[in-house]
Amino acid sequence: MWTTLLFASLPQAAQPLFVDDSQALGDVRTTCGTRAKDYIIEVNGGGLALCDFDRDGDLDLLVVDGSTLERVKAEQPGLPTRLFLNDGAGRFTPAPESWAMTPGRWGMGCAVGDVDGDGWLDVYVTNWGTDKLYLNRNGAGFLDASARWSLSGQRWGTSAAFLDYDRDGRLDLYVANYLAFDPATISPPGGGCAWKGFPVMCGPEGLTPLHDQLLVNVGIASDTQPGFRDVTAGAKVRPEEAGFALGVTTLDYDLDGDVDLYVANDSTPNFLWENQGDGTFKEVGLARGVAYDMNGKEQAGMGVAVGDVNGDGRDDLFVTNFSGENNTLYLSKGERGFTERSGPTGLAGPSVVKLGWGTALEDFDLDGDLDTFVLNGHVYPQADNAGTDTSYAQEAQFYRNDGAGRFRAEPLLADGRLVLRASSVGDIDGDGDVDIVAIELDGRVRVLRNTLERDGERKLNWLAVRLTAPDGNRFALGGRVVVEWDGGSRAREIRTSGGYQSAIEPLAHFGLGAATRARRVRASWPSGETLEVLDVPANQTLVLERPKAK
Amino acid sequence: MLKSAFSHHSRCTLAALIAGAALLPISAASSVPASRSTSAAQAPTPSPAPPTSAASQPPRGATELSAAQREAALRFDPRQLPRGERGAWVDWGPSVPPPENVRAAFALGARSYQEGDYGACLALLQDVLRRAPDQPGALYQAATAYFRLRRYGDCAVLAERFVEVAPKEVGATQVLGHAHYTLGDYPRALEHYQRVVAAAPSSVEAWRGLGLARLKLGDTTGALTALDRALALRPEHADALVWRAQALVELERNSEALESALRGRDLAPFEPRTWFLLGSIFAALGREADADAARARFVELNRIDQQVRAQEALLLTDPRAVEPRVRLVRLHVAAGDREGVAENLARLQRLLPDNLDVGALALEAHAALGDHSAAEAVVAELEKRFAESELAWSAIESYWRARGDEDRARRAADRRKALRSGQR
Repeated sequence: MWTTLLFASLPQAAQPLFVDDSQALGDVRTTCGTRAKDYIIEVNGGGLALCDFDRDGDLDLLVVDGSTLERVKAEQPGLPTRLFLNDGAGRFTPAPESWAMTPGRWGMGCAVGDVDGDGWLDVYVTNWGTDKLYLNRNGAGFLDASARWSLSGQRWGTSAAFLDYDRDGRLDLYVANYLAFDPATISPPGGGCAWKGFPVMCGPEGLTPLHDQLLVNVGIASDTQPGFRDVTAGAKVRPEEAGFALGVTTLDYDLDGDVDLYVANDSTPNFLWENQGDGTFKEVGLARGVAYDMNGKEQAGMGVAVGDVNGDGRDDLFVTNFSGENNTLYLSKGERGFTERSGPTGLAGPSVVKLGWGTALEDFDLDGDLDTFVLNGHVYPQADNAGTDTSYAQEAQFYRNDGAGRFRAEPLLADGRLVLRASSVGDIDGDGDVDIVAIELDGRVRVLRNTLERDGERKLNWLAVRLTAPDGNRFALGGRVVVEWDGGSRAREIRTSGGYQSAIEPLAHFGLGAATRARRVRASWPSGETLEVLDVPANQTLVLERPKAK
Repeated sequence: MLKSAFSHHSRCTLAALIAGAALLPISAASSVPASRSTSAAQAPTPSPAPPTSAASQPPRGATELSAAQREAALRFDPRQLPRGERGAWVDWGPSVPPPENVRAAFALGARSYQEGDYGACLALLQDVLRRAPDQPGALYQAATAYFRLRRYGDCAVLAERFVEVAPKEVGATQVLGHAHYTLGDYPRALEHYQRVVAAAPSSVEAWRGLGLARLKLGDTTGALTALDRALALRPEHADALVWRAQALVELERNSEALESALRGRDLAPFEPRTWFLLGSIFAALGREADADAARARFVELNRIDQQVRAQEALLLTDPRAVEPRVRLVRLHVAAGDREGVAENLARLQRLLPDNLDVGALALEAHAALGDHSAAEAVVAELEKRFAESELAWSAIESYWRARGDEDRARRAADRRKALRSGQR
């Protein structure tokens, strides 16, 4: 309500940058319990990935589906994760049967990476239950390799991130876990849990948070090798107190060449796991200023995005949070950590009455700086009652960067209020701008097409850079790309993690504004090799292969 | 959990007012509303209530309200309250009593507010506002009650109506700025605080709010100016000192920030945020050991603060609940917060006057805090009021034994044994 009043006086875009293209995917829906949302397991929704699984040059869409407590009680598996193949123009059709994925108990989120180093992107699906690993069989379909790769345990995984933390060329995995959920022991609404005086589902406060896991990839070189081995304790990724983890991303925050991890925790302090370079991590969230908001209050972190919003060459962090809290922008000060600047950048105020989930930092309007969006929607249907200062369905927001690091809030869509959750981003129609796919809780999977060039008149330019390697970490996760052009420069890391329960393609995308060429592209691989290319024409995806080590 | 920069630091003033009130009769405890930033004491104050008019038939006491009436009041959307005739209250001022037919209900509503019984407060004030639409005093008091309930949108609706019908009183409406701020509407908060300080330049909370709004909007220098104004009016304002330190950090004036934060810490040593900020300032100054110590203290206090907030949330909807209040006493003991202990003991005593368990809890708390003068006062009260209680003498015996005063412990033990054996 206040945001509407506030921005009524500001210049508005004629219409939102994104349109809901209902034809692009059709009526694809996901399930997450019942609409009453009597239990916390029913409120988080599923996950998404936009990646080129069949290597035909366009982004395919992976949709992680959930289940219902009725199915669980009946000992039925959850609903399967589904792949939709892109026709190259941004229209998706269900993938053939060979891509079918056997479901777990209740799918949540996903991570994408080439876990077996064969050059094809594999998929890890988190579950309430045992997680799943699906190996990509050279573009012919998926193979459920969960047992072979030693996945076990009954946790509630949410987000996950592939990374090569020990720089051995094999992708390891960080799994964010939420809480110990047992419907037999958790009270339904009316059982004593209240929010603003209304009986609501219980959790996460009062329930037991679960520790996250770090799984090292030891490969499958013999029948006795496990694939993944849990090294959480040995790598010291086990804090004294676990958090209710919902979002995770990789980043090299201190630019020391190894990959660190940031975990957005719900109602508990966020974690920044600093890679010590010796196979262990150290939790430095409080010391580096990213565990709490500027008041020293733990927030209810949901989604997380990484990017250099102010062009100083350092990656900043953006976290979406609960209603009554602002979304939080932590600006990097380099190895000294971060400082919260949510208010002065315009990202705090408009977010306070919203509950944010999916997000990303990308140059959606191709003007050379990073914008962001936040998918919103409350966890409590009771939010529609009087006096809550919020609502169940909420407007999704687009935050346009003015180039000076200040953001202006705009509606993301013209469709009004929705209950949205996870998102993934990528150029689904090959027109050079970055589109969004969103999960609507108990609703459609929505393809939100970026209409920047709806009139066909190209005024703004872009460049995408993909790093490859002939072996090992073949998609160069953890690599870094710096692009310089007349009027600006930006650095981006290659990662597939981020947002909320979702994965993105391993590619760095840059808006170049009016520049038609990049003066220089510098790439560095996690293994240390670097490459520089000069005078690169805009509006293409530049593929750079790892040079041979000197 | 909705958190407000204006809701969690209101305890200090109240605590200061009633500190030491443990085990005194209720009438001795202060009845000042539980808010510094949204205090009805800063609002237009109603005149004392005359006897209830028989014609109006309001409840004779807030305790007569049923749970259903409280619930209905809490569920009610205040936007549906009738509007008054334009100009109906044009001559209204703080000294003007409410109309006769609503005066008693108004007074009871105000008292319910003071007791933290916001459901009853709203039921009574909604009744007032139905019978005397837009009565400014009721609008204001209901707005502040909504603020205490963390219903900031509802607070803003009624506070805006108040400003509309009683524009001369805008200087008392910093609560409207607080509501806008807490809802994230910093430009509107800024605008309103500017109106308040223009009308009431001595409003400390409005200057503080103005500082916070400017800080959120990136006007750090302006924020510092406003916070300095607040501190000129009230130099011991711990929260303003800490926000001033925050502004100085953002201006990279870390040595000055440290000085301000340390003053704030000395005034409010149990506020986790101060220690959080101190950690950052020490780190920026390269004093890593001090930074680590400050962060450790922050973590310790924050853990307790989380539990305190959880209990306080329970009390918002059930202000007479005893268990959360007992837990609050114990949490404040764990933090070493004497004011917090005193405040909650006083509240307990008002809920359960002449209750031995409350006395024993007070003794346990003061003893744990090493506050022996308060503990000995409690012992004296227990001896006087519960002379025939074996449990009271048991508590007294334990206390003296822990103090190492075997003589007094033995005397208490003798008394306890005598009571057990039926001797007097």
